[in-house]
Amino acid sequence: MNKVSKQPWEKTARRRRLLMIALIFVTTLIASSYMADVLPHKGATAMELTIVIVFAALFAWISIGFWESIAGLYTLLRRYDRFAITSSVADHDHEFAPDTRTAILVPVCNEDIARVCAGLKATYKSLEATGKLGAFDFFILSDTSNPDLWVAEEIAWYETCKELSAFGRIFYRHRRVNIKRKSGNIADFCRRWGRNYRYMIVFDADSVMAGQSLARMVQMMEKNPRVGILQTSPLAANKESLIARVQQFSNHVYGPMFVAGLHFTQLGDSHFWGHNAILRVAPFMAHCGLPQLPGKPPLGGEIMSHDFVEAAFMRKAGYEVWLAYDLGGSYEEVPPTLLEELKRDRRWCQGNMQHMRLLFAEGLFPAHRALFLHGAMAYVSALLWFLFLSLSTAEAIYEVVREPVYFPQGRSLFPEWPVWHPQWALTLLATTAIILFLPKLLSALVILIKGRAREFGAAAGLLASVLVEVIFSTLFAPIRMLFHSKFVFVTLMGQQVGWGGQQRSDLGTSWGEALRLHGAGTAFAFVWAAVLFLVNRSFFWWNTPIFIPLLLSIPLSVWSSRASLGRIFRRLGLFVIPEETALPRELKFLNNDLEQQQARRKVLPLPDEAGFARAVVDPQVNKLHRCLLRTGRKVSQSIAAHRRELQEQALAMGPGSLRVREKKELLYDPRCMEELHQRVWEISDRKQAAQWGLASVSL
Amino acid sequence: MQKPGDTFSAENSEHSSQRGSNRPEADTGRAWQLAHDRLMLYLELLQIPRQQAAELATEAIRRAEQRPSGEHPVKNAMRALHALPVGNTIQVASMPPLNRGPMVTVEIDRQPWWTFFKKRILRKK
Repeated sequence: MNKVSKQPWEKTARRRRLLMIALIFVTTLIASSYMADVLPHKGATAMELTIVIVFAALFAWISIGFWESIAGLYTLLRRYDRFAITSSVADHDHEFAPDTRTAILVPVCNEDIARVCAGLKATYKSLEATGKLGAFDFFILSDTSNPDLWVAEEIAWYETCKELSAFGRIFYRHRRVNIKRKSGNIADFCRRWGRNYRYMIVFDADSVMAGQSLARMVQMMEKNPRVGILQTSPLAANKESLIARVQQFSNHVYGPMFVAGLHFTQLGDSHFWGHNAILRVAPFMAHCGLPQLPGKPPLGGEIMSHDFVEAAFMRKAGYEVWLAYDLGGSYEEVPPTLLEELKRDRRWCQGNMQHMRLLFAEGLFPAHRALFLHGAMAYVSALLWFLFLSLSTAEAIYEVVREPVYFPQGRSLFPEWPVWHPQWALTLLATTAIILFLPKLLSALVILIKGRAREFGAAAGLLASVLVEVIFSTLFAPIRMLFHSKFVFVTLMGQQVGWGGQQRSDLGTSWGEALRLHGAGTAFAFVWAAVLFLVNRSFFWWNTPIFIPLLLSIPLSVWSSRASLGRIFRRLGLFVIPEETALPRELKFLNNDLEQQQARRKVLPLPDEAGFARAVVDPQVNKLHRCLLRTGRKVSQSIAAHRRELQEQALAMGPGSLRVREKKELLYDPRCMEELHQRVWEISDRKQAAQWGLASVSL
Repeated sequence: MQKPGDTFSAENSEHSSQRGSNRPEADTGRAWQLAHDRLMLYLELLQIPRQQAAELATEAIRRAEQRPSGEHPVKNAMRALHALPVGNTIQVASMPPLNRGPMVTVEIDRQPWWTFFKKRILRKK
């Protein structure tokens, strides 16, 4: 499909993009000239010129968001969008050919498998209700490196299949070597079973989707053979911590307008966010195998944020990438704490920065090059903001310290007074505030106009929530800015980041963790504020919206992570989302299932995280684990001897004496596991037995 | 770990009838009790109904007692249980049969900046 004729949407997309560029350019030009006027020397010195350039980059960045939101407003308020991919399929028509096979992939890596399986079950049940289950298979694709979690995954998979009678429909694969992480995991699926399926729907570990939406996605792909990737816009739900509830509210109120705006400019050159999306398998296999980037990590090596690149490759191959911005029934979860959010951002930052290596790669569409740039700017903008603040501070200090020159060189009849116009600065500040906050207000207005305020509690609650959210985002913006600046800086300095699992439960952040995370930032802000307070008091007051959140970052991080505080806001009618006023069937099932799992009686007094011990002790788990391993292979004498040593060590000192690598080595050997199982049950010594959870039967 | 319904207990076993007279015999009785409890737990983990589990445990203990070894009763009992037809019937496959297909990595330009410069800038000159 490489050579394709131009589609009608391409012409429209070009026009819309040109309009968008013009609007951003004009807005930035006006604001930057204002900025130059506000400065003491009107941007005439090198320092001030740099400040104006950095300001222009930052203003262009926020203008993109503003104009995209306005485009989104236009799209949402129109009655009909002829380019909406969902309009190609009737609302209640979910029919497609019975031989259309789709695989739902759930890649996991050291995740809470109980939550993953609860989400999968909810999706499965919802799909079953549509009568289309027969066309779908599910694959849990594990890259889990923790041996205890690996066993937990096997147990969870088996119990899920047993509960749903879904053996032969829900599959589980554990990769020994995690080459290329998530993208490698999906590529591994494609190589093994991709030929069995026309489509694959990729989930995240916390994804849940309604069966009707899944069926509609397949139908849309069937109706539009040029579409290679169809991305849904997932709605954030199901979290209770304050920061998560704020994020969920933003996602529900501002998200639809912003996403509609993205659709307005991108059309068939859209995003792929890596999950809650359907992909056409054959072209994906033919054109989206990810290469290694030249150079060493973090900017070279394996591509970490694979989704943007896969979308660009799919488009390069002649297939379209669309955003189903108005398709519901697609859910995800947001990080429950600022700490977890920042951990995720650290990985995304490195991944997005890597895309710069592909900015000039041959054959890519300009729209996807722009998306690479956009992705990187999401983090680089923080560093630019930090740079802007640093330069402004330097300028403010310099203006105080230096001797004013009233009579510069050259002939002049009048002295040159340094004049500062606070009203200009206020105008600029107000303009920036409009650019940043007007889209939020407009989003709320769209909800009011469409009569959906009741879904968000009530009109008053909705507007009050927007107001509180603005305060909240203003407080958190400098904290995020400081961290994102650090992430960009350390990535550029060549420091790499790991790609482990995420903590998705509402456990909260402790004071100790917050102190470790924000201590340095707080101290830095204190010094910065103190210097400005002593040297240039007026500039200090202008910067208090930056200093105060940084100085309060520790309590803000702790309090915002608390589910109890999130629930108080819920009782006050703040940050209410439609999924809280009327819980969708899928999320109701998910929550019930998680509660039931917690209530289940355990025969062995082993903690949930003791997967290895369970695989050794529990006869069913031991058998299951051995069943799922490939058949025992003959190993060299030295390896066999080493494994015998490990067995003896485990028997004598318990499973806790083994390191992760050693547990894995035993787990990979079915013969060892069988032998260890038998020998553990034959232990007569009370202490030794207790190490394996058999204490309760000792005398 | 003795539970209602268990057919074996230290009190009703032939070993327990000799308990209290001296320490080694009492220890032997406890060891057989431990063996019985261990068997019952094992069978519970296999989700075998309690009545059937009790019967299997008694049979395994009986066989273990007949074993002429100097091993601990727990070891003997577990080995005797493994010799009985105890159903650990899990036999599943977690993956479908393979249907391999190629997914070749995309070739990319190793120096895209330079190529871009050559193509777009130098060519124009």
